[in-house]
Amino acid sequence: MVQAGGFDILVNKAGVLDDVSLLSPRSDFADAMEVMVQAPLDLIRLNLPHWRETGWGRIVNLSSGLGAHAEGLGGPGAYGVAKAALNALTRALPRDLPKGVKVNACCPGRVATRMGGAGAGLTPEEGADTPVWLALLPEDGPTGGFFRKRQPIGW
Amino acid sequence: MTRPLHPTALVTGGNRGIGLAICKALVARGCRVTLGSRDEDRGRKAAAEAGCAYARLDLADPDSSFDAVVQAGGFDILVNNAGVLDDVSLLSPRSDFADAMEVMVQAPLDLIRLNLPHWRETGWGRIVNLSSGLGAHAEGLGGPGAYGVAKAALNALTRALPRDLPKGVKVNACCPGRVATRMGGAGAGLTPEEGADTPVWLALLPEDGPTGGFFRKRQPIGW
Repeated sequence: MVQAGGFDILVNKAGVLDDVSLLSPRSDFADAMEVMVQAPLDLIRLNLPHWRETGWGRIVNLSSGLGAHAEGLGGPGAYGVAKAALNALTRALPRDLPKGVKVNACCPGRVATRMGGAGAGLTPEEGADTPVWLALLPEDGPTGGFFRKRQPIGW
Repeated sequence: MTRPLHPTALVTGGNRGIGLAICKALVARGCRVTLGSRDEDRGRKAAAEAGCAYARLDLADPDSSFDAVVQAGGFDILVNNAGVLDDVSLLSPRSDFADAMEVMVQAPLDLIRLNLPHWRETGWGRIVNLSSGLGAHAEGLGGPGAYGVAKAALNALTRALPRDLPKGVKVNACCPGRVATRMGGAGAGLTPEEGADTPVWLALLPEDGPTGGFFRKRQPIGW
């Protein structure tokens, strides 16, 4: 981040998904919270000087319906909890971000990847559509929202 | 398994406010209560006054949770009440985000994990997570600084845990309402005793009571 002098667009996409009980000694809870909540916040903080200087920024948090209360918070192990925390962060951040910087979360849908599995319905390119749209939102676009197929969905 | 005649209980952040009111109410209902707090002098004084045992508990220090639970051999009831509230930007170098997540999310999960052997043995347990409408999406997630995000994460944990908890162990979250404590401020509407009503009810739920829910005034509310 510092070597690049900051970025205009930050896509917090990295995630970990492991179907282990939250109560197992092998639970990935601490890792999941670190990778999907704390690290995105750290990256945002590191980008602040750049955004304060330029007055334009877009943050896209790759979340999931598996972390949505509105969809039953069905994510396995720590995944749903971490995505719910990322959603909460997405909703809280607009209070503190500089003017001109938008933050949104999205559910890419079930994509045929290593994580989504071969039986999933969408191609990676289709899954990328909403995040890319959010990364390039115009000035009158939304902030602090949660989207799937470019449409707002419930938290 | 039915409720033990005199259940044991651990209440974190028990030395004042809602936590202390929960301790007293559980004692009045026949529970053997351990009051956990970071400040040992005030904690011991409050415990003596309330008729509780005392455990030094610093939720930012996992070792102290380990000692408290293991020395007691586990608790039937766990009330995750301790919280931190600071109105600092999430983007400030002084943000309490990491602390808030540690105290209000990771530490409650750690305490639950430490209690598991006991619950597996007895088949009866109640977990009460003190949350807040300030962490509810349904109410706009209005909590300041890290508070609302941490309470939202605690709510998500509350909803996810029933999948993994042993049979006979219930977990619920609640919003005590705005209580006149150090955290709630003097202008708040409820007394600590009123704020303790729903958590104490959840701590002693009968076998057919709910699990994985979020309550205020003993009624389910939106996440």
